[in-house]
Amino acid sequence: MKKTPANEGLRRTNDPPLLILTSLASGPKHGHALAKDIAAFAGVELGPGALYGAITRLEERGLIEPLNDDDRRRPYRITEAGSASLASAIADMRRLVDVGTARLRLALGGLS
Amino acid sequence: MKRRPYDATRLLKWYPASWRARYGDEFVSYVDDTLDGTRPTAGFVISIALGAVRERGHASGLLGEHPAPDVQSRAGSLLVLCAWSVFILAGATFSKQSEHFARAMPAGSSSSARVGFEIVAWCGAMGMILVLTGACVALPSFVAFLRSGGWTVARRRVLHALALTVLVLGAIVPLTLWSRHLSTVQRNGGDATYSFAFVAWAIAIALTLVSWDRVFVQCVTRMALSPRVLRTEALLATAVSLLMVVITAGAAFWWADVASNAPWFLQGASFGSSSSPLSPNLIITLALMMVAACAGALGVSRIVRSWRQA
Repeated sequence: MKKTPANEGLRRTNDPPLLILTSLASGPKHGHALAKDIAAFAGVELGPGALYGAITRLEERGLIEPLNDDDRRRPYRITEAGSASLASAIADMRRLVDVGTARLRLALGGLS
Repeated sequence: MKRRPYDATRLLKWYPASWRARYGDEFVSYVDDTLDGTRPTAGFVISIALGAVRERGHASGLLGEHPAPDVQSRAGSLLVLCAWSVFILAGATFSKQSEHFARAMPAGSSSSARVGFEIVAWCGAMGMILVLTGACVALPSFVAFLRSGGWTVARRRVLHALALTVLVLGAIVPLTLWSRHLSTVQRNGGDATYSFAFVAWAIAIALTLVSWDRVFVQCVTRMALSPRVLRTEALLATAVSLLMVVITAGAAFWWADVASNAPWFLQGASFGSSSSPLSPNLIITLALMMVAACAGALGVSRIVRSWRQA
């Protein structure tokens, strides 16, 4: 049986909407560019169904918007509401990181 | 020889029309860019299939946070109706398998199996009455829908469903005449040709039910239904969904009692012989009932959600 690394599943988030918002924070991108960028910075391969499902929901919620472009590859950009939502999610994660780091230091300090 | 490039528009057909109109072009372009002339992997195709199912759920109001309460209520009621048609199929196979079970039960055994059977029969009849009541309640809106151009929309699917219905009903007479020349053992799997014809007929019934479900979904999602009609349909759907749970429990109750007192009956073996109570047909029937009951529960959860939002 293949052994699962101890930190598997704990290393990074793979929530498609969060990954898409993070990718668009660096500028507008179309679907293929989004998938490549997400694979590069997060190591997550989003399938076509997951990617376009998340794009659809994010657009419905007004967190991203399409740019007018004659090309079939329609690019998207993050909206103000999307930036605020991403900032809020990152702040939540930062709190978790801070608490986790502090408690881990305490635990390691207690052990040594 | 150069390989023909993969046609991504084939995958797009799985998505609902409204989604295709909005995202179709860019999605095909994205798929073309990603595949870059190669064939899609199974994982790639499965991801698209799951995405399409999800989008169909959103488009019908069965998934998502945002649909209007009336859209959710309508979708929930339609899901219960579709689940009921699965139940009709499961009920028919249960009825066939439990035929004459009372004769196989040893004298002095408990009457639990009879109670389970009566629950299935009575609740099944009540369910049919509720579904027909729902059809009567929606009839004026359906007539108005047909008069305002709905027939043009629904015609192709209605004719398809009607053709299948005629085929299924027409096959009853030759099948019945044939079965009269066969013994009980031959009728229940002993004659391979008859069994094949019977299974083909059962598949045709399932396809007919699916066809009519498609007609109902197509029409009901486009019909103008008043809040009162929607509320009545939602209440009827909730009752039907409850009945599906009771019927499933009744069938399981029947199975448990027959399995402990007359397992030979479940295998079609001779009286008193040692047989397994695990009949594949009954397992499939109960599985169908449970799937349908779960789908009905999902529909009711959507209805309850719509009531909370309203």
